[in-house]
Amino acid sequence: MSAPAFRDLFVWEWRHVGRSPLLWSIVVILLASFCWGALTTAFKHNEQSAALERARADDQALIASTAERAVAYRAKITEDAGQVAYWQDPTNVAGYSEYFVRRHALKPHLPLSPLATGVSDLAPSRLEIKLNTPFGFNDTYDFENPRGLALGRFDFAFAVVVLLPIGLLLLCALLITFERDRGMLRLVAAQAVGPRRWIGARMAAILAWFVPAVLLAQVVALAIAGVPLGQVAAPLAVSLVLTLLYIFFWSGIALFVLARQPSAGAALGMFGAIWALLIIGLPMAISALVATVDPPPSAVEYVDAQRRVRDEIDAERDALLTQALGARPDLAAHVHRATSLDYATRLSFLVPEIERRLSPQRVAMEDHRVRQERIAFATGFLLPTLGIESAFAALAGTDPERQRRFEQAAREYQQQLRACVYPLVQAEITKPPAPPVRETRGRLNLPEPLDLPEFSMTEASNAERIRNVLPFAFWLALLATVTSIAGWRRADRWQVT
Amino acid sequence: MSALRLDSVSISFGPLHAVEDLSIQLQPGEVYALLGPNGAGKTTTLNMILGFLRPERGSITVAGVDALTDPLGARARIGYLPETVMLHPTLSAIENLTYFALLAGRKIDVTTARKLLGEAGLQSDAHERHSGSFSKGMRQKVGVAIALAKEANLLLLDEPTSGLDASAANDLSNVIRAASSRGIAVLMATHDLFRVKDVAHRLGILRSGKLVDERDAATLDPVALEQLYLQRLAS
Repeated sequence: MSAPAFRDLFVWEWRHVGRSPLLWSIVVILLASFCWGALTTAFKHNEQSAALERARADDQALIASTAERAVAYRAKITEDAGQVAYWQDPTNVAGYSEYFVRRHALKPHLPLSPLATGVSDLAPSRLEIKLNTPFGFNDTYDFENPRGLALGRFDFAFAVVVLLPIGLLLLCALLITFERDRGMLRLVAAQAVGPRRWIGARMAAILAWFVPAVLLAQVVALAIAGVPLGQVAAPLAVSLVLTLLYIFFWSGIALFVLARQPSAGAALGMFGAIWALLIIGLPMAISALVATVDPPPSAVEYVDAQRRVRDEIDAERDALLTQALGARPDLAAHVHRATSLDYATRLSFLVPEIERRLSPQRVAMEDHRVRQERIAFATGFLLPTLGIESAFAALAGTDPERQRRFEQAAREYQQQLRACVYPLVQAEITKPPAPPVRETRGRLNLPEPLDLPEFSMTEASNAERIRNVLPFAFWLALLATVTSIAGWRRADRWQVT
Repeated sequence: MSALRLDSVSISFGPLHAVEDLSIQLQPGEVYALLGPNGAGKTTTLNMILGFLRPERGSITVAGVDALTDPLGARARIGYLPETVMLHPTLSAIENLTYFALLAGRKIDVTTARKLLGEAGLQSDAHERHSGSFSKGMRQKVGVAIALAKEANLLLLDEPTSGLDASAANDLSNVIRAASSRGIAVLMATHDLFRVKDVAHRLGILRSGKLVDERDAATLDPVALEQLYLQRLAS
């Protein structure tokens, strides 16, 4: 007589586990939580997408009204019509530059966005771009750790990262310790099977049900949340692989603990401690440590610096403008006009100076943000619970890197607009001002509103997104393998005496 | 070839010598009763034979297989009946038997399972019932069937009649006799002197881990056996 074949044991266990009400209860709960999480994010993102559409419509409406107004102001003046202030006049290039050039930089959600709530829900995905806003747009949002959001908002990634391990560990603990708690383990151990094969067969049977059920639940949840599955086949497949590896990681931990055949109570206590450490304790500790070692630059100090710099610029305004005009060969002969420039023309010289003076603080903030991203990336390797969340966000397009890329594109877009408009505004300095009494209400130094470029942002391709998460996927696979092998090696003898 | 051979086996738990220099040999078909009070080392001896504990000294051989170097191989030749048999409550007697037989490396069909359960004395109307509703005696009978299913060379019985009614205990005696007649050796750790006299060929008395006496059961009537047991424990 020889030991039972693993395949025979597995088949028996597979049938037995498949009849367990616990398994199906956990699967149903996970399916419900996956759907709930994905729908929560999808609703939020739909609202944001609607806001983006409104912004797009606002831009079109402004362009249309500017064109309409320009037509009206080119018409011959009537007797009862008065003059128009320059800031109301789209045919005046200075007024146009400050009061009619307003576009939105928009960051649309990607099709797989319900996979994970991310930075996009904290940071703006819609930025109003005006020529003279320092650094591109108003920085009215506080950038927070998206983990805080995940704990507050129930998204799909939260369900996977936090709830899935609970379900799996509960299942393993109760199904694998059953014989121990029921007093059957001695009888099992007295047969011709070793603990590795016996525990291995049961664990494999649990996973043989759990893995397909969870992966199917993931696909169903995302489909219900409106993800066009056909369009996102590749990143979706990678997200499924990540979920699979995450399950294997936790099953490796489960195997390691259960290898010594503890009672259900002891196993659950151990699992609870490990879960709390990986999901709550270590992330909070690392977050606290990072905040202590590398605190973020003070937002209050930045606001204060902005106010101080503006005050300085106001005080030095005439001198700065004189210096700016004098430094330009094409404008040097018109230095005498420095003190009589209109507000919009003045801004075309002064805003770059404001940006120059604030750049140390701005650079410090950007540098800190980049460091935080690097730390978060590295921490993901230390704590797979954080890593998988970041990987999901990267596949969903809600990651900080995409947000940073969007904000950089917004800033570049503003520079692009300035390159179109500022030369025209500043060229007016060399020309005589419009006469106070004219045949038209408009000043007509800009006969037609400019055909300004549209905002565009270079998106990472699906292949790039996948490439970005592959190192973590390999690392997770390695961790899963190491924990499983360690657990398998640990299950070297029956603990029945 | 002996069905079981223990040579100078010893094991300690810290300062406690649980089993000391124990030597027992069982021939095929022989029924050996290991007597002794609680803590005498009976279950520890069974644990060492099953490979759950490793003796510090000595050797254990089961049907020619060294139990210390090949515990799985030795267990494959041992049918074990614990004091209290616990089963999967949601499985029937047949399913439980099939499962444990599978763990022992044997695939048995329903007909074989019914036959084994019948041999163990379980009534046929209980074969399909969930074992969650079984009495201790019925579970014990399924346990016997599990042990028989292995077609083992050696049966290890740990307090097999504890908590059984007279009828169930008598059924168990019949099973032991039947196994013995098929050449299966039986090592029975027990307090039940009556059952020892009923089925055992030889008996050994353990006290504080030492084998203090060993006799042919046939040479003793029940009263003499009880007196001998009490004397050995007292001395």
